[in-house]
Order: sequence, then structure tokens, then C-alpha cells
Amino acid sequence: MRRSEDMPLEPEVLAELEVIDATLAGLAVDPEHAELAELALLVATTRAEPSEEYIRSLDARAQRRFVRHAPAHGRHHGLRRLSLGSARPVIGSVLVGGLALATAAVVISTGSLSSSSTAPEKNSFGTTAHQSVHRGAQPAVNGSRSTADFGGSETATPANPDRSASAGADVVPAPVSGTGGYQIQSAQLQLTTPNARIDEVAQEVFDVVAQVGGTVQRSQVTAASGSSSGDSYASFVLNIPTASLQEAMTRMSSLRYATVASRTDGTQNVSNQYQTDQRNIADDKAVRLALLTQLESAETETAIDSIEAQLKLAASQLASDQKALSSLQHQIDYSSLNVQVNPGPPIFPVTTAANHGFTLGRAAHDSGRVLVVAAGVALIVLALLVPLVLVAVLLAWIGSWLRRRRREQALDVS
Amino acid sequence: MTDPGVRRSQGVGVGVAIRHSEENESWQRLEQLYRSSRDDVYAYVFTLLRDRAAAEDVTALAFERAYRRRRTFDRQRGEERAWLFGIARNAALDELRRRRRTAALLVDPEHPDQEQAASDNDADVLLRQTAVRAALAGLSARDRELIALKFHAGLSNAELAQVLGCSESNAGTILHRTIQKLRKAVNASV
Repeated sequence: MRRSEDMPLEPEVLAELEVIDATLAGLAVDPEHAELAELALLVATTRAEPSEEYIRSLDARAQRRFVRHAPAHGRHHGLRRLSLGSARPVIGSVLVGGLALATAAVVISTGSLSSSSTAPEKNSFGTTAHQSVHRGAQPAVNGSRSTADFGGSETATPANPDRSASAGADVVPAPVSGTGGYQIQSAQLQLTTPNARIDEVAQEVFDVVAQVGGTVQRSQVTAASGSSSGDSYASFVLNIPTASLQEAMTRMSSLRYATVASRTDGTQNVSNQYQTDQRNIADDKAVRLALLTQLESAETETAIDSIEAQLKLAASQLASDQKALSSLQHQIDYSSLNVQVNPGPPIFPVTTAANHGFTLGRAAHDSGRVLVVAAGVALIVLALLVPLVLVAVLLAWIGSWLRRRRREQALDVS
Repeated sequence: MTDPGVRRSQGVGVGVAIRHSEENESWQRLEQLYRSSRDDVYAYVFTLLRDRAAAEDVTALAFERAYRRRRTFDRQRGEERAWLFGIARNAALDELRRRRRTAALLVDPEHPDQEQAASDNDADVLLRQTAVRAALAGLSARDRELIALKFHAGLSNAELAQVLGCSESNAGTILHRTIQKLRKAVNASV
């Protein structure tokens, strides 16, 4: 449609339009506009009237409330096309189906990512076996911004000798080598806990170390007395029997007042080095044996002195190689575990008295988790829905605009 | 105490009755609109298409669509007649587009009731009527549509604006311009 500027009508134009309206309404008009009034009447007389037969037919259809039927003349099949109204259920079903599929895909992919992640969150539903927190004798650090340094090597006595090495098999990946090779394993664990809980978490770490028969290589705990005076922090370098590493990781992932921020597991295959050390020792022993045989058969003082000197060297070499092998064996038997505890948001402690019993803390924790998950799902749905709706609205607007434009073009060419 | 099942069925019954009542009300409103606008819609569509059979089909289709969409009518957005003529206009324009695609239907303008008009009017009036018809036929489809909406369908300028999707003053301006064209064409032929 051509559109002129949207301005108020000029008085003459307005007057003539009023004359036309008055004429069509059968009212008298000013003789000055007689010609226009006559033209209006003449134009009105050119109006086409429907035939009686058509009126009867249309009235009959109106009586039947315009039930659909084939075109009367069979020439206008193109008049009826699929309307948006009739297609609405189909469009709605397609949209809802697509949305459900997308949501399911996101949820499934998120779930699989979580399960394969090396840093799973703390099990909120208490399905992992928890051990009662054993308050050990390690010095807890309290007070205003005090630092406790447990320097040196400290061996903890195992508190739970019948621990199961396979308790955490679902958390820590199995060693890479399946051919009986020698491996050095290491792991890093980052935990978060509220400022006020740093001492309790540190104590729990010590307890776990004691329970799995590990040692504390180095530890540092900095406890802030209030939230305004700074952040609490703790770090531990631990030696854990390799057989108990997975159990230790599992237990430390399930501490009462800490949640897992990240976890890293490392494995180094040292089979070659181990075998080399073993061969070196065997060689050293063979050399030593040969020298001893030569010593028995030596007759001169010079020869005896020379062989004894070589024996000393061989013994020294053997001791060195045995020490290297022993060190390697220790690294294989004991894994290094670095634990860092950083300040984080408050969490609801999970009572560990029973794995399946109802407690207020667990219920509150689970309720919180359910709400968080529900909010996450809602957010995902919203994130999918909003762009879809925007695209749908945009497409609908473009479609409407194009349809209107095509219709208007029909007026230009006819 | 009332049985819950009975209460539920009563609730369903009330809901059905309300829906039935709304259905009847919307139908009665549409039927009233049909009675008052049937011939106007036909006249408008005929002037636009200049084909009696096509005008009949499009008129029926317009009412059929209006019946299907009667619940979507929003009184706050305009008058029912303007809403109906908007539907009729879309149906007529679709028909024009279909014709353009098929390019098969080229019909000369029909002059309904010409014989009757000739018997009822004197020669001068008949002459001027013929001149007006010729002038109308010479107008573009856009201009012819405006004339049809105003003089054959009897829409007010406000309704005209609503059908065309423009402001009332804009519709008045366009209408006046079209009438001037028609006047010139009629005067030139007479």
C-alpha cells in the first residue's frame, strides 16, 4: 500500500470526504458539492449484487455454520491452503518434541560428563560408604590466624586395619598397565570448605591418612578466626600405600565439611627402570662373585690387593644399585597424594552414622541438591526455549511480512 | 454430603455449558455480522476480482474463515466489519495471486444489473453510469479496491484505515486522491 505522510487532512479534502459520507448516508449536501455527490451516487449504483441463487446457497451454508465444502465452480482449489490454525497442533507437537529431545540430550550428556569426570562432586545421597570420623591426637590449630607446620615426616598408625582396598575402585582409575608392570601413582585433590571448618577438615584428612596406613610428608593449616580476617587454607603432602590410594581418595572425597573442587590422578610406568636396576644388581653380584673366586686363587700380594680394591668398588656399586631399587620400590609402594583445602561456600554436613537412615542434615542437604538440580534443569530448558521462541517469533513475523507483501503485490500487477 | 464423583461431573457439566454458551454467543454475533455484511463483502470482492464466480467463492471463503477465527476477534483492535473485510481482502488478494500464477483467468469486467439499470434510468444517467464503470475499469486494482471498500461496502474511513493497515488520515488522503482520479476519468469520458 502506498502511504503518504501521516498528516492531518486539509480542510478541502476533509469537506469532500464528509460530502461523500453524507451522500452515501442519504443526507442532503451543500449544492456547492453537487457534482461530487452525484459521482458518489453513481459509483454506488455500480455496486454488484449477488444473485438470489447464490444468496440462498450462502445462507444455507451459514445455517450449517460454514461447514467446509469443495469450491462451487471447481476452479479455485488454491483458495484453501493449510492455515496456521489447523497446523497449530502439529507445530506445537513438533516444538514440544524437539524441546524434549534437546533437553534429554543435554541432561544425558551432562550426566555422562559428570560420571566420567575426574572430579565428581561429593555424593549427596550418602550411597558411598562413610567411615565414622575418628578424632585423632593430631594437634588442631585454632586461634587468630595461627599457622601450624607439621614439618618432617610423621607416621600415622592405621586405625582401621581391615580397610578395603577396593572401596574406591569406582572413583580412581585403575593402573594403566595391565601386564604386571611397575607403576608410580600420584594424585592431587582440591577441596573446598567454609572458613570456620578448616580445622575439622584438616583433622578428617589426618584421620583418613591414619586409617589407610599412610604418612604425612608435609602439612600446613592456616585457620582464620573470622570471615573478615582472611581465608583459611590447608595443604598436605601425603604418602599413601598404593594399595590404599583409591580408598583414601574416596574417603577424602566424602569428608563431612568439604566438597571436591578438582581431582587429578597420575600414573608413571617404571617397569623398564625397575628391570634395569634389577639387572644392574645381578651384574654387580656376578662381578663380586667372580672377584671372590679370583681372590681365592690369587697368590701374590699385589694381585690380592688389586682384587680386594675391585671388590670394594663392586660392593659399593652393588649397594648403590640396591639403594636405587629400594627407593624405586618405595615410590611404587607408596603414592604421593597432594591435598589442598581452600575456602568455599557453606555446605550442609552429611551425617555419617548410617548410610541409609533419615537425618535432618541429610534431608536438608538432599532438598538443597534437588532444588539446585531442578533450577539447573529449568535453566537448561529456559536456555533452549528462549532462543527457540525468539526464532519462531522472528520467522512468524518474517512469514507474515512476506505474505502481506506478496498479497499487496497482487494488487500492483492485476 | 455430595459424592465427589457427582461434584466432578457437575463441574464438567458446568464447564461444557459455559463453553456451549460462549459458542452460541460467538456464533450469534457472527451470524449478525453475516446478515449485515454479506452483500457488502460480495460487492467489494466482485469489484476487486471482476469475476462473479470467483467473487462468490471468495465471499464464501471469507465467511468460512471468519467463522473459524471468530474467537480470535479482539474488539479492542477494531470493529467487526473491518475485521471481516480484512479477512475478505486477504482471501481476494490470495485469489489475485493465484490468478497471476496460473495466468488462466482473464475475465472481462461484468456489469451486473446493467439491463435493470437501463430500464430504471434515463439516457443521461445511463450514460454517466457507463462512464463511471469505464472509469472504474480503468483504475488500478489498488484504486478500485478503495472505491469498492468505500462506495460498495460502505466502510467508514476508520474501518477503511483498519482494513488497509494505515492511519485514518492516511486512508482519507488516499481515498480523496483516488476519487480525484475517478472524477477526472469520468469527466474525460463524458
